[in-house]
Amino acid sequence: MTPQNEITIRLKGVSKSFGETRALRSVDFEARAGEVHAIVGENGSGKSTMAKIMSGVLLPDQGDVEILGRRPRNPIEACDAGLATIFQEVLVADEASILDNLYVGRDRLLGLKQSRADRVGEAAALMQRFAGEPVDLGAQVGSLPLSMKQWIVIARAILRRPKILILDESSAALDLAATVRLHEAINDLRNAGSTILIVTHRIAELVRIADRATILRDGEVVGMIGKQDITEENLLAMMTPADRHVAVSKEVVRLPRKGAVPPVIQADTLRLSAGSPDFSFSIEPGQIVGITGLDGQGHDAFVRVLAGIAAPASGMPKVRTPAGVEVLDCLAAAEKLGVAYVSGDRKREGIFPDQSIFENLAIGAYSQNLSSLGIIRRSSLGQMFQQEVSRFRIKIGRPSNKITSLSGGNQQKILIGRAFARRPKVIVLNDPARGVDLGTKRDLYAELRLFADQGGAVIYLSSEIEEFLGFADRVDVFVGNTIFRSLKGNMLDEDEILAAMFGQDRSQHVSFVAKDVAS
Amino acid sequence: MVAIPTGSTASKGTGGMLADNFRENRSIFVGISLLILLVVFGALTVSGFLSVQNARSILLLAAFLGLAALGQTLVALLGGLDLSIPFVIGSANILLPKLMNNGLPPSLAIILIVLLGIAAGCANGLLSFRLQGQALIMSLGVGFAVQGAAEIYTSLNSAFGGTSFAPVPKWLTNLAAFNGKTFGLPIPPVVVIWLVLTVTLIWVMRNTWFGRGVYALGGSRIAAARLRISELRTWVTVHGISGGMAALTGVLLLGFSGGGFVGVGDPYLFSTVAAVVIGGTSLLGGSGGYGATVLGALVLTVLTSLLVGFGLGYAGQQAVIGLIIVPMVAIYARIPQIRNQI
Repeated sequence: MTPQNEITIRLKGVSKSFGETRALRSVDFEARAGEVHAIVGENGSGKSTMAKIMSGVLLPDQGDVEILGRRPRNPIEACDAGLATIFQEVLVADEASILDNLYVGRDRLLGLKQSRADRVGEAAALMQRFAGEPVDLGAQVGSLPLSMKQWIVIARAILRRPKILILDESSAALDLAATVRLHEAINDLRNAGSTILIVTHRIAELVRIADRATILRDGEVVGMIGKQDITEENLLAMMTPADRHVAVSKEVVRLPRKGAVPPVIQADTLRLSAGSPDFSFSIEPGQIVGITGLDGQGHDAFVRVLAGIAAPASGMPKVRTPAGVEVLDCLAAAEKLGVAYVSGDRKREGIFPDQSIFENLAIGAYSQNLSSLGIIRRSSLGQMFQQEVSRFRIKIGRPSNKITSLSGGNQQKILIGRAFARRPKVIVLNDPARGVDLGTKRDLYAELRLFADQGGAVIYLSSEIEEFLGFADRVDVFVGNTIFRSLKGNMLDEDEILAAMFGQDRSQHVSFVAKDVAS
Repeated sequence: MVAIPTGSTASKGTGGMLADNFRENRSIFVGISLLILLVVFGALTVSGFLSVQNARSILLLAAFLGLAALGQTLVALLGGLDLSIPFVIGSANILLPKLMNNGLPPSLAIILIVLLGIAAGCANGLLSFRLQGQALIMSLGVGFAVQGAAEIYTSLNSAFGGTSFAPVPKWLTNLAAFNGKTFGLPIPPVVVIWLVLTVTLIWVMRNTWFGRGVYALGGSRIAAARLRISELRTWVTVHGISGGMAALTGVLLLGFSGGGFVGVGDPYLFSTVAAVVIGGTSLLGGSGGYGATVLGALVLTVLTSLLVGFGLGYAGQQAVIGLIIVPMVAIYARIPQIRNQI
């Protein structure tokens, strides 16, 4: 066991560039045994790069990385040294079972290192603890919800009993109750003397759990603070450049709206699956409707229906256009009717990894700029690209660089830009802020508000409740494949939403939020 | 107007941009350097390597390869491989004399054969799309079937199924022979046709919804589907083009050789894939392009010519070219990028 307070990981003068982008500039960092150390920063501040360098995935251009007295040159050596990393991307083998996914890479060429029965016992206990219910270890991973996949990668790392555990935005796909369970596991690991590094921009989470925090900005360490100084205000002030820093405000200026407007999308007696209850939904121009729920309650399927990607069991949504009411039953109809979709799962259904930044954004506008022969009219696209890039303050090198040269958050911004480039009337966002920092979120809210005030309609799915406050006009909470409650006006607060997510009418009984799990 | 860099082949002047252009167009730079290296090496070691005669034959052979590999490039951009190409080439090569013997005017026979090639390609595309994962063996199966059918048809009145002969029209010979002339210039017209097709295709791939769709599908099928890029339509179109180009190559090869032979396409099984890979188009789809394949075809042809100059027989050439693939793939291996994406 590593003695308490011994330094387990040390970075000295570490620099790393990707083409023109300088991701890290001479970074010094150290973490001790038995602490939860947060590495915080906005998108593109270099925190993911730092995690990759510590994990041996990337080698630094300059500088020195020491992990438990060793200098790993690749992920295998880092792993042998006792380091485990949970990456931002949910890396699972879809066609293998949960058990195989948990123990991948743990066997010798011939023979097992640990008996199968041992593994099943150990894994079943851990997965049950994480998921909150018994888990079938034989299940094929591809068919599981994202949250379960996330648990698998977390459990895979923890089963190695690492001396150093790095979590790179690893709770992004977990809902609140699940995050609490994750924090408990992190605490156990810390008490056993491990170093836990949490790489994140989710500040609220850190305030509860971190012992120390190192703050990155534009690839440089701008400060290191201890537990008593870790507050939202402090972190925010250090993360954002002075000129961008504004007090966290829950107020949004709204333009007065005139009387009743007919809904732009309406659905009556919509059933998500054959056996589920039917419900109705409508959204008016100028409205922002939040959609939320615990994992697997149908809200994800619902926004896909609204985007024309999936079909409901019955009760197709209808869109009002100047020409009349039309059925939104497929992607073609969605495009024709001006409904655009942004997925938070950018790796799977968002980016084209081999293509340039420009192409990844502009491809959304190609279909609207075609001659009759299918030739793309490029004349206006350059201007459109610049407009979207400056609208979301996207940090890019040259537009012709590959999209993969950007950080995850900036890739997401390009994808949101792609949706805006289609000049939609309704925009459906499926957890777009996953992996996006606070500054960007605020830009995004402001742009969506502006879009709504100009007559657009916004449907915004998120698992982070705080995203809706002061932003959404209404929040529809899903339980059991139907809208359980629709909250608006003065009902729209954190406690009410949480209560509804757990299927309760009033908020009095739910009180676990931020119940000092770190102690 | 705003300068719009696009795709992987953007180029914006010189100077400071050079390093970036190199990074973005690595395979093009490597291909050109390799080509220059081979030509210089050939000029120094093989007498008469730089002669007009040799240059013309290299261009001519590269043109056949380039035309056959056009479809292969597009299919590779989608992440597939079309193994029916050599069989379609061979079938077209024996069908043309047969049809002309049957009294069809040559031009009409050629059009019919190219249409048949497109149809075979479309069928291939449809089947391999439906049975993805088995696409490779599917295209091989379609190739076998097409060639078998062509052989059955041509042997109807002949004892020699594999070969067929007919007087080849002069203009077809001129189109594809060493001493062919384009408007009086001593360049075989096939080379000019190849050049025109190359420029057209590169432009189409860059500036049309179809072209961008091919790249998008090769990069991410689901993301492309969200943009309403039809995978089925693109897959069928691309294979149709591949079949049509293979049939055209078979027709032109008849002009080159003067007699139909069903095995004429055989070398193209390996060489079309090799030209694509040497050019730097990823067989996983989404990255590369026809410009790269043109370089790949030239490199492969110059290399062959060099080996012939050294007096190597067919077996020797085969061994050397086979081995060349290893370092080429190593040069293009995209390990750093894949690492960065984790």
